[in-house]
Amino acid sequence: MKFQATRELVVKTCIELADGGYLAATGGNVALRVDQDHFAVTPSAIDYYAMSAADVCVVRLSDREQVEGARQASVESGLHAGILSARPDCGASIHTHQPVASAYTLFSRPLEVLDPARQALLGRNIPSVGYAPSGTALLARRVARSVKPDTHAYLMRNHGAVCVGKDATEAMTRVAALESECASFFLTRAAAQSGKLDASVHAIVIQTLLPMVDDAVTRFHDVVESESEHTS
Amino acid sequence: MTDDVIEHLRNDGARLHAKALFCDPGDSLSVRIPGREEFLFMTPDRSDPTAFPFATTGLEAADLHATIYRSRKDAGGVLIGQTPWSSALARIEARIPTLFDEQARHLGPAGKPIALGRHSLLFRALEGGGNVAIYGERRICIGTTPSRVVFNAELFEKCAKAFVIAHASGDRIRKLPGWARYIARARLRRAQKRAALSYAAGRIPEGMDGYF
Repeated sequence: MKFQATRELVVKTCIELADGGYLAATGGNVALRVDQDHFAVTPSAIDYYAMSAADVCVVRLSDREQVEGARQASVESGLHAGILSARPDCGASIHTHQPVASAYTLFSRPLEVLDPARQALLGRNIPSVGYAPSGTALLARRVARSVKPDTHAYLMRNHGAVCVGKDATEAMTRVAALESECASFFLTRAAAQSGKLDASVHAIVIQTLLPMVDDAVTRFHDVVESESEHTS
Repeated sequence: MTDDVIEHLRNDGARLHAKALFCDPGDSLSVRIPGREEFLFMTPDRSDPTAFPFATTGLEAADLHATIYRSRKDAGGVLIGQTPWSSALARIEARIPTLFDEQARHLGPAGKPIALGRHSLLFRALEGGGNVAIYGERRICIGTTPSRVVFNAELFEKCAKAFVIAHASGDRIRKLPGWARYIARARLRRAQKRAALSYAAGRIPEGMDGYF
């Protein structure tokens, strides 16, 4: 099998994302660059827990032609191709349906990243891309137009998010950082709404968001630590 | 065939349990047995699945499943149960708006939460083709296949969580554009029609997992 290691990494990444609640059902997808001209991408409409490396497709960046994989490549392959073409420094593009960032996409406005550690990971301002249906060329074009060298996450209105990184680990750390930043935003808003909401609803929102706020920073430190151990 | 269905149901139950979507003692999960007027039913206590006829079950928890299979010829699986987010939706007392593409495509429109015991309102809502309803503090999830009911449960959990968190902010929420809801709903109806025809022919429908 061609590009076996990267295709196996796509499977591993999807399972980690699904276990973390960042992918819901068959929603969301992962693209990892395999060489200068190709990327590996999840197939369309697959159960990530049942996916094998052989199911993972390989797509050519220049014309989006599928060159490997028995199944049909993700409908969001064009979106990933646009991002990876615009960001040659990135080896990974992860599209999630993570619930808290997805909640933020319902406002259709950019997210200002306030936490300094998360700002270093994500960029200062996360753009909000206007609505276009999933899997369309219009969505791919709108996201590609928003791509900037110093911004590593993008919100898609009424849809979800895309995070990029030099590799899968960095992109996943940014997925977690984005969820944390959005959790931090909603925590502040929910605290201000105390008394206006049903007490039990308010409690579940606070209890859910509170532990999420520092999660990404912890993960980032773990990654940095393991990378420095690896280097030394 | 029944052994395969039992195995599938056990795996589905384990997956939903691992994601805290099938844990409450009052939760129940079932799948249609193709070619027979029966379904397999289980609860989170991991007892062996039991087969019940659509006509009557003699078990209160299973009766609701039986009534759904009688009225929804496309239903291949049903999950009934409570999560913190289904309770939150019941307490907000508002219908969850259609917010995401895949929600429109696979779950369809959800009505307002229905008080426990208002069976006629519940069945009227489900007969409209929606794959999810809030009944008391529980959510009822329907899927055209056993896998689809698992995906729909995961999808609904994400949608409910996103909606409740956004709602709790007090900020204005933007719904999915009307034209996108319309197209997705037409696709859902077509898939449901196809599923009903497959079950009438004694087969589990295929190709029900994708967006398109």
